[in-house]
Amino acid sequence: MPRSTKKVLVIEDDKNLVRLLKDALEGGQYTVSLALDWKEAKSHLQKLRPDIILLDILLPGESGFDVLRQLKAHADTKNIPVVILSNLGQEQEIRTGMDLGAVDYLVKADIAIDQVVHKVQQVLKGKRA
Amino acid sequence: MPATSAHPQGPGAWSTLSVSRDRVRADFATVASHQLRTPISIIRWALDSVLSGRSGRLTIKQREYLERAYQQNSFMARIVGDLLRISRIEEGGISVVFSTFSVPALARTVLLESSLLAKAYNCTLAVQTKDGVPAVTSDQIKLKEVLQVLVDNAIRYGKREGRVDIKIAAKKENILISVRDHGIGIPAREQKNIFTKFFRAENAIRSQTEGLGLELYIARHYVTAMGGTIVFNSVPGEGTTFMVALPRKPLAGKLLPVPVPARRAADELSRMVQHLGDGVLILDTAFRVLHCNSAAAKLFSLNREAISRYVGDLVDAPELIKFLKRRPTAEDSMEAKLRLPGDDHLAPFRLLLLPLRNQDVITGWALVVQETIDHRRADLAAAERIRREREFVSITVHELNGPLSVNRWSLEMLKRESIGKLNAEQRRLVEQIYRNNERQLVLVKDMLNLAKLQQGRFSINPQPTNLAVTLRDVLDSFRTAAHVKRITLRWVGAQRMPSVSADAGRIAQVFTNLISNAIKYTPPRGRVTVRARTVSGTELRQLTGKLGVAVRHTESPQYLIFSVQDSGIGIPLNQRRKLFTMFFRSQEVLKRKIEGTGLGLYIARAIVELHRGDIWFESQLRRGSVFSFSVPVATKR
Repeated sequence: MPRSTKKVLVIEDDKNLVRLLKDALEGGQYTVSLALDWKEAKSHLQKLRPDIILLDILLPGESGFDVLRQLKAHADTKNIPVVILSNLGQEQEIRTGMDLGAVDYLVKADIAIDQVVHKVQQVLKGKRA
Repeated sequence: MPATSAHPQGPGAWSTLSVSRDRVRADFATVASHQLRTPISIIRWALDSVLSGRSGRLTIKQREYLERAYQQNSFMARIVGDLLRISRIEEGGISVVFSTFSVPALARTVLLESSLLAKAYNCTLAVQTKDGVPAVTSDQIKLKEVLQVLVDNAIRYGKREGRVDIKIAAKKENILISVRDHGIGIPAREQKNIFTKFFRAENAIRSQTEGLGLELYIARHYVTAMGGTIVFNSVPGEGTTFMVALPRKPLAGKLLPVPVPARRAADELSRMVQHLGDGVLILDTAFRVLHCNSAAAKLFSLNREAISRYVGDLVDAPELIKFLKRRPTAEDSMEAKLRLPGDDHLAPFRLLLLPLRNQDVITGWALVVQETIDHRRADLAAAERIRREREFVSITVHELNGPLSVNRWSLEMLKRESIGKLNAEQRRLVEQIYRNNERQLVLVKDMLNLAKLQQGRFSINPQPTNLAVTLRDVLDSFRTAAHVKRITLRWVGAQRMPSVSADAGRIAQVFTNLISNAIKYTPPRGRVTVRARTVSGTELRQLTGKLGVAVRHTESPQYLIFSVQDSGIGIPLNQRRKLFTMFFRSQEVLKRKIEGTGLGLYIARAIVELHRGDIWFESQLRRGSVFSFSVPVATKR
C-alpha cells in the first residue's frame, strides 16, 4: 500500500467510460470517487477533499462549465486542480474551460486511457502540463 | 441613496448583452463529431483495458485482432477530429484570439504530452531555446495544435530510436520554431503537395492509419491566420525539418482590443464576441469604435485604422446614423439597408444596438450586425464554401465505413471466441466494444444520408413494391430488441395491401426509424403496435384534418397509411413543433448523450415526401404516441 494515496474525483455521467476510468486510475494507485452529476459531486466534496478533479462538460442538469465556475468560487474547492475530459473539444469550449480556471482540457476520443493517468500524475507533481 | 442596482459589482457587469459563452454550438459538425467520439472513446479505453492484460491473458492472435481494432479506432478518431476542424475552417474562416504567453513553455507542454507516444516509438524528445525568448502575443491554442501535429509526425516518421529536436529562437520581430526528425524524409516528387488537402505520403498510405492527410493543411491555415509562415526542408533518408515563423505581436492590419486599463471591460467583451458569426462592433459612448470582431472586420473591411473612429464613418447606413443622432438610451433594433464596401447597392441587414452598462450607467454600446436570410447580395463564395464543406463531410464520413466494417468483422470473431477463449471480464469488454462499433455504423449511415440530402443527391428509386414484405422484414429485425425489453411488438389489422410505387429500401428506413423510436421510448412491458390500412385521398384529408394536421398530398385516389403506436411517455409539448427538423433535440442529444444524431425523423420525413406522402403524429403525455405516414398507391393506367 503506497504511503499517501492521492484522491481523484471524477465527474462524468457516461457509465461505460466511468468504469474504465476508475479501473485505470486505481491501477495507478489512486483512490477514485465517482459522481454522475454535480449534485452527487457536491455530496462527495462535503466528505472528502480530492487532490484533483476530472470533469466532463456535458452533464445532466448543470453543465461542466457551471460546475467549474462553482468550484472556483468556493474557498474549499478553488485550489483543487481541474482537468476537463470531454468529447467536445472545439476551440471555443477549450478557451471557455481554460478561462474558467481548468488546468487542462483533454478530448477523450483522442487519448489513450493511460494518457489520462499520465496527465493526473503530471498535474499532481506540479508540472502544469 | 440611489436605488440598489441589480447588477453585480465590477467591470464584468454586462447586463444586456447576453452572449452565452457556455452554450455549446449544436451545429452539424459539433453534434456529429461528439456523437461519434463517444463510442470512439469507449472503444479506445475498453481496448486499452483488454490489451493491458489487466482483465486476463490473451493469445497472440487475439492480441493481433484487438490491436488492429485499436488502430482502426484511432484512425477514426483522427478523421473525426479533422472533420470538425475543416468544417470550422471552411465555413467561416478562422478567427484568432490573442493572448500573451511563452513559446518555450508551450513547447515543453507539448513534449510532455507526447512523451507516451515517443516512448512507444523509442524516440527522444528535446527542446532547445536560444538565449532568452521574449513572450509572444498570438493564439496559444492554435499554436499548441500546430506544434502537436509537427511533433506527432516527427515521432511517427522519424527513425525508430531516433530523436526529435525542437529549437526556438527570436529573430527581430519574429519567433522561429523548428521541429526536426531524422527519419525517412519526404520523397522529392511529393514535397510540393505536402500542405494540400488529403495529402498522404506514399509510405504513409501503407499503414492506413495516418488520418486523412489534413493535419498539415489545417496547420498551415492556422499559422497563416496567426500572421506567420510555415515551411519545411526534407532530405530523403536524412530527415525533415519544419520551420514556423510567427510574429511576436499581431501585425498592423489586425484590429486589436484597445489595451488601455479603463477599457478592460471592453476587452473582456471583445474576447467573448470574437467568434460570433454576426458582426459585432463595440463602441464608446460617443459611438466610436473600440473593437470589432472578425466577422465585422470582414464585413466592413475594417483594419487598425478604424479604432476610435466614429462608426457612422465606417458603416454606410443612413438609418443607423439618423438613429444615433437621436441619442438612444436603450436597446433598440432596426432593419436597415447597408452599403457594404465594394458594393454599389444597399443590402438589408438587421442591426441591434445594445447599451453596455456598469451599475446604471451606460459605458458603451455593442452594435450587432446580422445579415438577413434573403439578402440580395449573391454570395457565391459562401455557397461554394458550403458545397465544398458538404462534399468534404461525405468523403470523411465515407472513409469511416472502412474501419468500421473491418472492426465489425474482427470483433465478431473475437466475441464468438473463434480465435480463442475469453474470460467473463474480457467478454464483457469485447461486447462493449462491439456494441459501440455498431453504434457508430448507425451514426455514420445517418450522417451520410444527411450529407446526401443536403447536396440533393438523396434520391429514391421507386419500383412496384409490396410493402407488406418490407414491413415484415423490419419487424423481424426488431424482435430481439423488443423481447429484451419485454415489449409486445405486433402488427394488427390487414396484412395484404395494394402494390405501390416505392423504394423499398428507403421505406424500410422509415419503418426502422419509427419502430426503433417506439421501442426506445416505451418502458419495459409496454406495447408497440403497427397498423396498415388503405384509404382514399378524401378520407386521408378528413382524418388528418380532424387531428389538426395539414397534409400536402391528397391528390392520389388511394393511399396506404402505416401507423406505429407506442405506449410510451408521449412527446412533451415544447418539443412537438421541432420534431421533424434537423437535429431535433440536438441540444438534448448532446446534453443527455442520447444515442443517435437526432436526424432520424428528419431523414424519414425527406423519404416520405420524396414518395409524395406525408408523415405526422399524435401524442398524449404518459399514454403514448402514434406516428403515421402515407404512401400513394400506384394507379393503373
